[in-house]
This record gives sequence, structure tokens and C-alpha cells, in this order.
Amino acid sequence: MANAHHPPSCNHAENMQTFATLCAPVDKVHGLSAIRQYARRCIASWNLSPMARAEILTIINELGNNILHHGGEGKICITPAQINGHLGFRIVAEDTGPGISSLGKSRFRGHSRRKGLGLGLKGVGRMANDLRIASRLPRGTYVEAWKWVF
Amino acid sequence: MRPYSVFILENILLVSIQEEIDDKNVQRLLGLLGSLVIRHRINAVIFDLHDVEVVDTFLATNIEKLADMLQLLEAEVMVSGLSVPAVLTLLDFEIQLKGVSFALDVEQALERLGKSKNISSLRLCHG
Repeated sequence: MANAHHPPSCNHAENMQTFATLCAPVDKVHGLSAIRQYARRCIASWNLSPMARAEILTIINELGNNILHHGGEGKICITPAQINGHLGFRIVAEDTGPGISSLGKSRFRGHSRRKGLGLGLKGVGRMANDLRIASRLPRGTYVEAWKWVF
Repeated sequence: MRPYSVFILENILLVSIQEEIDDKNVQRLLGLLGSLVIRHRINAVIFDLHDVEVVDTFLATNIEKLADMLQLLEAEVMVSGLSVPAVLTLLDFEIQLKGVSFALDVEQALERLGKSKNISSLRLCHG
């Protein structure tokens, strides 16, 4: 399933099985409605608890709003994955915005000078099991979050 | 369709919010609520988030902004209808809606504001 845009996470074992990836554009035209709809469809078949469902949708919401407010446009992809009976979701958000010049600071409260409380990425990091952020300066940010649900 | 509905219950405003609310609509709501509070001598505004499944920092910022403005206009601000996952999200994101009080649902919010449950007039309002 992995392609050039979505390299497999390096510390997950090889016997991981991934399922069809759903991607949706996030920009001024689509807003978050396309990815919300896709994500709901993607997780509907997995019989998740309300809590897990809300956490996954919150991660998507937060990353999506980050794209809209900082990057302008990009896309979000969601991939279900299974390993040794555990179910998880990989959420990848990419944008073509200015990138984050101080990645270390972006996880602390009040770092961002733009809209938002500046807690977004930190909160996503707390909610997800694994969060990787790559800043492709001068343009573009790549955020990959893994959420294991059981 | 607007991602919010505003009802007037005597001197209380009930604002029902859907999660798709964006910046443009927040600006619109800011103006609408401000003028309604002044015109109708409103002394409390209830934000009902029952229809919101997902709370993120952007929605919280917007509600904080609305609450800040309403408090300057001497209106009490209440948030009702938060789901358990939404509450846990608020904790994860360290969101403290300052100066806002909370109720489980609209009924409890009205009770806290000293209103009887049978409100005589309820008007839908979209300015």
C-alpha cells in the first residue's frame, strides 16, 4: 500500500497489514467536509468505541484546521492497519504552506502566533500513539499520526 | 445552510452550534450575537454543543472569542451538551474556556439561570 508519498512508518514490524487508503483534499473549496465524510466512511466498518471514534475524528479535524489556517491547502489520508490483531489508523496530513521553522517549539503551548490556541499539535501528540512531523522547508509540512484503538 | 441556529428565550439567547462552523460564520455570529444582546437586553447566552461530535482547538478558540465579547456586554455565557469524548478532548488540548460555566444540557443550563422549563416564547432568529 505504501507509495512515495506515504512511506511506511519505520518502527512498525513487517507483518503489518494495511487497508485501502482514503485521501481527500483540504482547501478553501472543500474545507474539512470532504475528509470528514471520508473518515466517517472509513472508520464506520470497524465498530469503534465512541471514544476511539472521537479521537480519530479530532486528530483529523485538528490537522485539517492546521492546513486551512497555516498551509492554505493540502490533503489528508487515512489508512486502517492491522498488526497481531491490533487495529490502528494512520492519518497523514500534508500541506504546501510555509512549513514549521521551529519544530521543537511547535509542541509547546502558545508557540504559534497565528490563530488557534497553539496547543493543537501538542494535543494531537497526546491523543495519538505516535506523531511524526516533517517540515519540508521552504514549503510544506508533513504530519503523520498513528492511533491504535485495540 | 448556516452551521448555527439562534433562538431567543425571553432574555436568554440559545445558540446551537454544528461542528462545521468556520471563521467566516464565527465572524457573522459575533456580529449577530452582539447586536441581539444589546437590542434585547440579553443577560445570558447558552451555547449548545450537543450536535458537535468533535471539538478541536479552533472551535474552542472561536467559542472563547464569542464568550469574551459577550462577557464584555455583560452577558453570562454557558456551554451545554458536551459529550464525554468532547470533554476528554478539551483536557487533552488543555482548553480552559475561561469565564464560561457548564451544564449537561439546555434544560439544566436554563435551570441554573433561574428559568422555568416552560418558556412562553421561543423565537428562531437569523439576523
